[in-house]
Amino acid sequence: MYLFEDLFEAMQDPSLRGAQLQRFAELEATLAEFVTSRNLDPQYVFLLTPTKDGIWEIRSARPEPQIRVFGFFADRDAFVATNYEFRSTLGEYNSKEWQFAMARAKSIWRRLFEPLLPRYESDPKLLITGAIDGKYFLYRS
Amino acid sequence: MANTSFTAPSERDIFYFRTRCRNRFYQAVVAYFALQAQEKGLTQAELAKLLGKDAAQINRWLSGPGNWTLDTISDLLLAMNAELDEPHVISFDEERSDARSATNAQFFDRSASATAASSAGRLEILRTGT
Repeated sequence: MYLFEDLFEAMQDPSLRGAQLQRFAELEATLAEFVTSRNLDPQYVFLLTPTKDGIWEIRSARPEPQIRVFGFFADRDAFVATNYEFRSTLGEYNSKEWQFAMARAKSIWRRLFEPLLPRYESDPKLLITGAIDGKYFLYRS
Repeated sequence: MANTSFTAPSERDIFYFRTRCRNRFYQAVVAYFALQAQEKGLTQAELAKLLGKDAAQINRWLSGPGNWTLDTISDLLLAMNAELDEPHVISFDEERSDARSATNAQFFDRSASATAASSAGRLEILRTGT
């Protein structure tokens, strides 16, 4: 797991206190799970649409406020986290804020790696060793 | 005389390791459920029936560890005819291999504009090249 410096510095900001300190420490633990866990549950990472962009989000859903981390797979098991947003600021999916966050992710990728491209796969099992198949977790009420 | 090899954890580390601990139990139980689903056809509905719970409750449990207690872990595993083996505690002084640490260094070697540097053995930080 690789973090763009802005994201890393936001998590490590020494001025964080109280609830903010707790929330970013929890986010860091969630991201580190990608490195340390033998298995990853199907709720961990999602491919965003349009899928051709190859942008994934990691959902740090609990506790509130929820945080979304955007990024790309440079290769199998090599996730590059580019930027993050609080879920509440993104509004409805595909909102202007969502599109801005995704555009920022693409911009950071280009800044870091152009002309190299990320891996384009839609199946997490092809990108993550130990990814658990989501088909067993579908639920219909 | 007091043992001076221990230091008080920082507030950040307390929050970090609480989440890490909860996530580890969660991933272990969810992986076991997926294995039973694959090998024996176990479903969430069946798990709900075995535990006398609503299927929506089981789905919430399997969707994240946010509201888990130690009892949740025990109940889910027991319903799957399983339990935790004696938990293994490791010292931070011990070496451990991370599941996905063997990332493709070649990718970064090919990139002229980014460098990756290790950060405390947890995550790696990317900086634009200078």
